[in-house]
Amino acid sequence: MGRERTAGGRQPRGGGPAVLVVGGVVLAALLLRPDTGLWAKGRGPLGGNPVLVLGLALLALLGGLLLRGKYREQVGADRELNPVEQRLADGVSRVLLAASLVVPLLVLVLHRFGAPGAGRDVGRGGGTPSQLPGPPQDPASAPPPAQHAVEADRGVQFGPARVLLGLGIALLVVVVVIAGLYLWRHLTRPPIPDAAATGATLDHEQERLAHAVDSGRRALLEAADARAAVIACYAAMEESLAASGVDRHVSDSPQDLLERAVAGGLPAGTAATTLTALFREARYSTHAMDAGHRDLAAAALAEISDGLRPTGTA
Amino acid sequence: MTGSGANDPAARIPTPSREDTNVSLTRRQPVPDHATLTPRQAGERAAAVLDEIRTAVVGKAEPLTQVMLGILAGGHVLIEDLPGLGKTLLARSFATALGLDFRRIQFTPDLLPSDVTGAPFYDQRTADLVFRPGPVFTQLLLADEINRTPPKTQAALLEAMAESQVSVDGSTRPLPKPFVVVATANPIEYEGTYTLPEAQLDRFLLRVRMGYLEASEEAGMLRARVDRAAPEAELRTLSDPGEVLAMRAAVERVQVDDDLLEYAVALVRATRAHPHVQVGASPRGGLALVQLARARAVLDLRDYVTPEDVKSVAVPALAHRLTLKPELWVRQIDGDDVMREIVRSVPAPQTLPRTPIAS
Repeated sequence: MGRERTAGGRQPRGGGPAVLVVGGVVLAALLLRPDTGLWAKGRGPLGGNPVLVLGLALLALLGGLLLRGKYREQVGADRELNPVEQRLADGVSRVLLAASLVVPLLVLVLHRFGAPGAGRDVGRGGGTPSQLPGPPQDPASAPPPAQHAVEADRGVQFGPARVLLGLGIALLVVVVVIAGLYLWRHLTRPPIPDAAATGATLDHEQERLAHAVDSGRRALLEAADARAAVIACYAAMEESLAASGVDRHVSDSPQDLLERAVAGGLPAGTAATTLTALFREARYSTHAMDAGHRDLAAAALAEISDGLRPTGTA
Repeated sequence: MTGSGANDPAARIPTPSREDTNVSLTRRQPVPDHATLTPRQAGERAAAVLDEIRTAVVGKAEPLTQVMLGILAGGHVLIEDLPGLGKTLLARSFATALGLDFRRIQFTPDLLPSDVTGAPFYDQRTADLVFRPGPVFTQLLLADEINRTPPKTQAALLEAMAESQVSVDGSTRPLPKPFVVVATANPIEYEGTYTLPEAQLDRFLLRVRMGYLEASEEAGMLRARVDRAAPEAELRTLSDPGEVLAMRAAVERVQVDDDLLEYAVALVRATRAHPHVQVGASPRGGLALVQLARARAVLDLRDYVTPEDVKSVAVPALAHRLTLKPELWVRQIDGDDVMREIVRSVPAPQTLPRTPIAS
């Protein structure tokens, strides 16, 4: 969805799983060897075990839902989407949801549950509505159903098909393990901080805020150099803002951070502007800085920290 | 209006309008000595000039500021936008308010290099070849629709811009100081135009886009026109060539921290590594970026550059120096878009300096 990436940006990931999925599908197609119509019921060599079929359907359902969740999480994480991109992302999300439900459903509906060896015969005969029209067959020339089933079973048991079957089972185990790992990581991931923070999160933020302000005040007292003290005050303001949810982006200038903080409802906008101006002078000029600058910075930091502290906790 | 050719339609034909055309402007108008200006004083003078120009050019606050930055930084300005947006008015207003001699060349397909630079002619009285200076011998030159003339004529002007001198008939003649070219180009017409090559675009310190006015500003412009009952507003001359040079000297006294120089280098290098860019900005682009950032600091009455100064001029200073990959034309991504993305992604200097600064 991203329009463009900067140089040295993230490399495309997921090539390994994609190859795995494609390989699995190809292998499954080889194993199933469908020689009937699209909607004909039947089963492949692995279909004799209903637990395996149910497991595959469940895996498809969980995998689809997981994929959709990851997609929604990734798209739009870096930047705001424009309306066209948003519509496209919503469409893809809906398709993923539908596919997550339809694919396992089709697996279950179209699979022929029953005694081993009976699947292929039923899938061919019966004149189901979806059966492809073919030339009329001479009953005398058609092989008996039982004989056909025996030949099919023999094909599975001997030759390269047996090797492919083993490979398929191994592949399935790998996919299940990987899916399990993904699910485990998904479930154990720390939750994203919500706007309505819990009491514990609030306590943590207050601790960070208090720590930031304390470090700024300590720097004011300890630093013999007024310039270093002003810079430390500003650094403390940055930490305070981060504690209140306004992080500094890597490309932010002091003005950018200030504007985002004010737009985010920073109560002490004037003090923040004063401290930002003092910081710019201290950081990027060689002007002499004295105790007056230090006092101004200290007063601004105190005002900002008071404003950022939640009501009733000051 | 100081410039003799300012309102003269004959200025389209680039023949000098003065009698003593064989004497260069530098000798005719000696630059008066000005007291040294501090960056703050220079910024105040520049702000006064901008305020005066804003009485004639409605809206366009940022383009006006950018043109002033180009003049303060000692460079040439390319204004690229649609016709009728006030490019000529803008250039003429700057010339008037700054007290600079002004000429205008309307570039056409049949314009020759000698029409720009001047050429020797035979003087019957002295029976000698005398050089007649072209319209380039001025202090503020409006090169209107520069992309309408063939590359040979473009090159003649661009060489004069780069060297601040003209070499004709074996002798080199310096151009007056200050020498500022404000060139305009129409970005949408391709019929009968000669797009400026990247190497020549690089000679412009910055590219300015005017853009349309807001509805309220456009209504205000119409109201101002009706009220003054004259085609153009009368501007006061608030400065002179010597003061412009003093303002430029003040820009040279603006400090730039090492971290900011590294930031400028990072921005320039990012243009070379960007996947959408075929050829990135040259080292000259880095110089332009820093010089414009210093001019921006002067306009803000500071004698030191901040990250905001660098960020604010990155797009006008570098976007026109990028050669994008051809397929981006279809996606309607231009250099400005790429530069904005680069500015958003390149890390700005950290809060804490790497080396402690003593008070």
